[in-house]
Amino acid sequence: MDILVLIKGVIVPTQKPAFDEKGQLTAETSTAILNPYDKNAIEAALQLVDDHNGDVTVASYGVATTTEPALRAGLALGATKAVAIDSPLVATDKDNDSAIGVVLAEAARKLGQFDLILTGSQALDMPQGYVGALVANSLNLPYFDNVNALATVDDELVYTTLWEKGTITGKVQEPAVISVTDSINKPRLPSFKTKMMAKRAELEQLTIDSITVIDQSAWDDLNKQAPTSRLAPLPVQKKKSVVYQLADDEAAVTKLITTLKAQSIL
Amino acid sequence: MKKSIYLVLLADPEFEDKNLNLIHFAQINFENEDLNAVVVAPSDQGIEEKYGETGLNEIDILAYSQFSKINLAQTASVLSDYFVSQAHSLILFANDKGTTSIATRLGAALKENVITQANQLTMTTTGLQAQKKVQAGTMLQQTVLTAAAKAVITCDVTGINDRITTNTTATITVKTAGELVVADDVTYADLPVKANDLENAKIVVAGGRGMQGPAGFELLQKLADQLHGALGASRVAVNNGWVDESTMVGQTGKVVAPDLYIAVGISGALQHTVGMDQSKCIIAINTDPTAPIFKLADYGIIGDGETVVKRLLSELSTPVPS
Ligand SMILES: Cc1cc2nc3c(=O)[nH]c(=O)nc-3n(C[C@H](O)[C@H](O)[C@H](O)COP(=O)(O)OP(=O)(O)OC[C@H]3O[C@@H](n4cnc5c(N)ncnc54)[C@H](O)[C@@H]3O)c2cc1C
Ligand SMILES: Nc1ncnc2c1ncn2[C@@H]1O[C@H](COP(=O)(O)O)[C@@H](O)[C@H]1O
Repeated sequence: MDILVLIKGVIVPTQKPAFDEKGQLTAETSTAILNPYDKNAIEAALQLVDDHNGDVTVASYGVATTTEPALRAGLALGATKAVAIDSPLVATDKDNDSAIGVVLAEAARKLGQFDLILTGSQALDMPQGYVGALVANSLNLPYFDNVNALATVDDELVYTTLWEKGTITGKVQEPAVISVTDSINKPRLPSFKTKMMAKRAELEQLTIDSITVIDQSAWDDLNKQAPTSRLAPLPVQKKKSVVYQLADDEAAVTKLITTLKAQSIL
Repeated sequence: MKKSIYLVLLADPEFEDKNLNLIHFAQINFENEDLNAVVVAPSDQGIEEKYGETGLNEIDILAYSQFSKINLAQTASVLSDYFVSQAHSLILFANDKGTTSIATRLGAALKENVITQANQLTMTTTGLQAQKKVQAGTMLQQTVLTAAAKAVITCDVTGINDRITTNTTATITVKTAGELVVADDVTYADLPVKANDLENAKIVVAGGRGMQGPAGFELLQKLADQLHGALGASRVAVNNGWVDESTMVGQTGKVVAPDLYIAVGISGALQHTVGMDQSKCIIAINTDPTAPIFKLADYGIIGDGETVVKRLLSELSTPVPS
């Protein structure tokens, strides 16, 4: 079983984030790491491959400073191959989620035949939970999302999707695209040896310079409509809390209950 | 700027509460716009009673007997057929897991912009601004769409509970769904135990590592029962196996906005607080006065969780009327 895991290098703020004039985190106040949710996707892939043989490829779209830490972290976890994807067709001054999804689909097709394409449930920095749907749609593959369990039953891969109030169970018809939750498994920790190997490993480069998975007109439309976005700090709501000390106030609990009742909260 | 805005309402008890919240969310955000809806349902029975007088302008009902909430691919395909030939600019969904799954599939099929979990939408002279929380809830992202751009947006309707009062009557048209793709071959099972209560509960009693073990959670469950509330938990408590996964609140777990949230032995990590910071009143009980949860709290007690909960239980032993 050959599996492609799409992983993102997410830009996370350091302690004192600052924004540039475009409303993006400045390079000095942010670092790129492997999206933690994608560790679960890599782990799911490794477990499937352990059971069925095959290779796990990790691939990431973006500039080298974000893809490289993600890809090396993916190799350290046990992926066999890592591919950095870039494309001159995607404008960098826009918020191009949809275009990136299509480029990832194009890349997946170029990289070969995979039984499964896995993604994490969301990107930690700019969570959308959208890339998997786009890749599946562009490649005309079935899509299963919020997958919380994958198990082989009678030679067939059975998935469970977790919703707020219930679960959906069905069979995965391969090839397929699956986005996994972060409760599907507990990602392994890289060993010293795999970390060292990952540090030295060669990363493959793939440049996407034409789009074949969707119509040219749909591609043009999608780029024309791409929005722009900026970040802003969350306004802090200052609350006037009333805090009781149990240690020096035997009646703390009584006082709390009295206050809550007086405010009609209880 | 005039926009043609469509709300997608899926007729299933799992989504119906949030359907009404979505209508209200849209009314708050688009005061001066006509709001239309497309209702996908197994039949047109009862739709008019439910949505006819909620302030919507036009309602199209796509009724077909195979409709089921679990047919994600089929429902997305029905909606995609509908919207391909229906002029629209914005398509709004509520933020359940199921509706979001359909929204992203629809966005991918239509190749339109997708924004998930928007908490504010503002019409501007040049287009639309959508705002959402990003970076694990620590920052806001404001996305500006041009006037011509189309988008599928899932709306964070958590905490929008007001019911709509209006006296306008919508124009209702029953439409036939296009040719159906084969239904998803799936089965659905309800989650066990009290999972269903959490999102709708008026009071949530939640525990974290500070409750020390399953025994602590039995106490919290008792308190929740006594207050007619539901039990919640942090990820650490769930990971330690002290309590069922369905109780987890936060980024990975559920997002709740009850009238009262009691956090016992929970430090208040961002991944937890994004799931509860919209609660109307927050009480923190924690041994550590510097725990971040106190920043969010309206009331707090610095002290041992077990001791405080036991006292709450005994002092509240005359049950509050529900
Ligand atoms: C990608 C990702 C997603 C995540 N999603 C979620 C999520 O959805 N939900 C979630 O909750 N977490 C989530 N987390 C984990 C989150 O970051 C925190 O680790 C977690 O919320 C901490 O749980 P806690 O408050 O129970 O434990 P801790 O942070 O260990 O806090 C325990 C608290 O208990 C207090 N305490 C100790 N003893 C006592 C006592 N005797 N009485 C009273 N108080 C006591 C301590 O002072 C401390 O404040 C996620 C993390 C990641 C990386
Ligand atoms: N630039 C990217 N390169 C590779 N995979 C990505 C990229 N962006 C998102 N993904 C994948 O898509 C998932 C969902 O991301 P998103 O839709 O952006 O929230 C992530 O968990 C990744 O698996």
